[in-house]
Amino acid sequence: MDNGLSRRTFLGVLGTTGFGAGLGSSAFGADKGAHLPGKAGKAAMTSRGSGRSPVRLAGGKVIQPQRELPVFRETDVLVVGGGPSGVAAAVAARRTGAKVTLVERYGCFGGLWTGGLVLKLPGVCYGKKQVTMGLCEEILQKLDKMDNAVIERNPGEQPTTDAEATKYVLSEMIREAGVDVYLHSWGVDAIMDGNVVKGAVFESKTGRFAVLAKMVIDASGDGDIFSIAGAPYEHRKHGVGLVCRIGNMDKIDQTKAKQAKKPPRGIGLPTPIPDINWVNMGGPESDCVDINDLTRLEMDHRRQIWRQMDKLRKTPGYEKVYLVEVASQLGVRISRVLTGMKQVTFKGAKAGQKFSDVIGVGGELNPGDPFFEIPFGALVPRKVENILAVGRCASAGPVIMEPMRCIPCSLVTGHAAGVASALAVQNGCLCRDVEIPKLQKHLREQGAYLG
Amino acid sequence: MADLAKKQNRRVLTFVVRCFVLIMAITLALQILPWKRLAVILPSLSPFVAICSALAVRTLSVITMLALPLLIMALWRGRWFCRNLCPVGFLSENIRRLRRPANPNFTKLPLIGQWVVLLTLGGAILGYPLFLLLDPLGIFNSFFQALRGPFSAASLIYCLPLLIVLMINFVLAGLWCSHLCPLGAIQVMLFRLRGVFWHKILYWRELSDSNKVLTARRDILALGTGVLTAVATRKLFRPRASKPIRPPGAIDESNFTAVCIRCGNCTRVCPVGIIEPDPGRHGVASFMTPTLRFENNYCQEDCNSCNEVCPSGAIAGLSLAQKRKTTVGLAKVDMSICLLSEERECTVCVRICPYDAVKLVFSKEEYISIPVIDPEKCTGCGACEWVCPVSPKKAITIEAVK
Repeated sequence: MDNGLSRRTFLGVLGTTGFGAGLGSSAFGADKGAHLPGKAGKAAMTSRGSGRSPVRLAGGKVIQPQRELPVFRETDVLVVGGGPSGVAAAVAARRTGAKVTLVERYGCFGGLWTGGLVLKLPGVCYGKKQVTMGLCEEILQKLDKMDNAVIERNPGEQPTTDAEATKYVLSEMIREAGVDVYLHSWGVDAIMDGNVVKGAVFESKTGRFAVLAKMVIDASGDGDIFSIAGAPYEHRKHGVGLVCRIGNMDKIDQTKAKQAKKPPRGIGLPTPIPDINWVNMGGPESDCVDINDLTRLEMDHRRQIWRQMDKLRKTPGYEKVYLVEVASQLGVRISRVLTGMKQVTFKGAKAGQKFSDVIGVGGELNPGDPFFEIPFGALVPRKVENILAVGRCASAGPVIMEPMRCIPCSLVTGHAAGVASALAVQNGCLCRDVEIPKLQKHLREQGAYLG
Repeated sequence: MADLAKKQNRRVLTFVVRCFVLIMAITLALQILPWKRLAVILPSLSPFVAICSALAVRTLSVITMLALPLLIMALWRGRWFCRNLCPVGFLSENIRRLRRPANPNFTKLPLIGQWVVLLTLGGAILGYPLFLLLDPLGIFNSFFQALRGPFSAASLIYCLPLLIVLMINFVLAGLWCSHLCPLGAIQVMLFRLRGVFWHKILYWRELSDSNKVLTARRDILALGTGVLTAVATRKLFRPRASKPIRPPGAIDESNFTAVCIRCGNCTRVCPVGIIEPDPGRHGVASFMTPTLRFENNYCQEDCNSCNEVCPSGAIAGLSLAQKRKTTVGLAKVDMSICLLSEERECTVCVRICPYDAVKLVFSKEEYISIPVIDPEKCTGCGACEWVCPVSPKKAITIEAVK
């Protein structure tokens, strides 16, 4: 038994720093028994302590010794990141019939939607018509049934959701779909066989581990996996903010408040919870994959939120307003953007560009924004195989990225990537060669709107 | 008998040629040929436009040279063009055939056309050619330009001048062609000028097709009046509060309104339709001159079509590289309505700028990002104004540079 377990779980995943090194094809000869979450991890721990070896100083340089990594899973589709696009991808791939593993670095699902307190879903509608359908609409409908979970659901409105309700809904959807999950595990490396992605490496309290997969969906939001795998990408900068929620909005003294010419700054917008508002922050343009920047921003923003709060409480009428919470995730808007086989562009959208491989459409952030189609090619990288980029990493020009990076489009790209990966597994083809009509048929059957 | 037949043949030939020229002129004006820049040819043929505009903008361009054939023809053959090629004249003649009234005698009437030419020339010395827009080829061109585009009040106004000219010719038996047309007049004057040089005579000489000519003294008087009128007009119609935004390469605003002949070429050639004839928003003198509006698009970085089709040099013939460096205005941000001041999601002006001229500058005091324009880089192309989601007034707008 011990032997069998170790053969199954310990595979020659070399490569320990930076890039994932080659992986023998023997990996796929291993036992493919169903795993219960935790079992493999336990095996790794019992058979070789923590499975970790310390890093050594050699000649003043920090060297990570070559080591073998435990393989926690062998799966059809591996989704890295449990934000809106990751959850949509995992659920869609599972529903299309693939075995799916989802790995998320925090303890809940929803990414910036929940942990980042980005409660607004801009670009759900185009004019009065809702255009981001499929899983997006399914999630919203689940929230509709709950109390204080979503508001502004009328045609043409931009829904505002409650973070806790969303976390719960997403978690239950993942559970119902039967997706294998690892939380608190951070995707750090791609596992490559030539130019084909064969899985990813994760860091966790249990130690570094590998998940092998036929298809990988990079829903990390920062292109953590495809950038290591060698897919061409663009490194963009954008404002990084920190969102908060404030309470006692029902206790504002309106007679005093109305004396001011203009409402004070930082009172935010209503949320599904009646007396609570959420307050957005633009923040300075920063490099979102620079840990120094991210650290500084977290601390600066927190100070700013408290200063603004202080100011607000000194404004006549607003004395009782208080800070409910600051988001646990920094509001990263954009970082690495895939240079895909196709790209959504603003000019194209304005000219009414159509794509034969359309997998969804985006709505408008502001009246007059163009309607745009999202092609499957925007998720497919150049050069590397069997990895798709979703969410804010999908290939889009800088202007059209403004709606593309938001939650509704992330759900649309995630949904499509999930279905496409599952179909590629079924057909035994490369992900980029998936049959477009079949993909579109499945998406439509799952309620997606393709224009 | 043979003479008569010869005459008959000649008449038929002339008719065929004039039909052909008319069709060619319409084709050019309608810009239906794949080479859009050919639209420049028709109004550029006029020596009146060429001489006055070259004098006004003080440049000789390839486009100016297009008028050389007619200029040379006029020196030797006088109003040969009017009789044999002019599409406006041909149209008028055919319309006049509809009714044949007794020709009223206009011989007593002064040759206003020549005064127009002299006044315009005088103005041109100051860079303000007063009546350049009366050129019949420009008028003809603008009519068909207007027919081509989507129908609007502006296109109706563009149509009017030709209709008025034809009406004058119809009702008053060719008065436009004989007495008013500056193109006709300049041909007579050129012919006379050659005569003056040819015979080394300083003073006036009788001409075959006109009994009344101006003396040199009168010419100088007219030129002087032109200069004075130009000064006065320019002062009178000085652009008021809001200076219009002109197409790239437009000459100085104080002269633009006179050098522009309102031929409509630039308006129609613009692939994104941002050039709009001014409906009088910027003063009387600016009426129907091209202005840029960024409601539906912006001035494309890979286009210099308007630079290629201006017959009078009101819009300089810039190359694409030159045009990309030419400033038409400067973007200005109104932070009181900018979405960023409300912490709303928007950075489209920064993202779209083709010249990388809009940068977000983070204000630590305000704790918001402010779009800041780099005046060195900004060309005023209007991309930012076009995409700005704030309405009805945009938060970022292009303003004319002083």
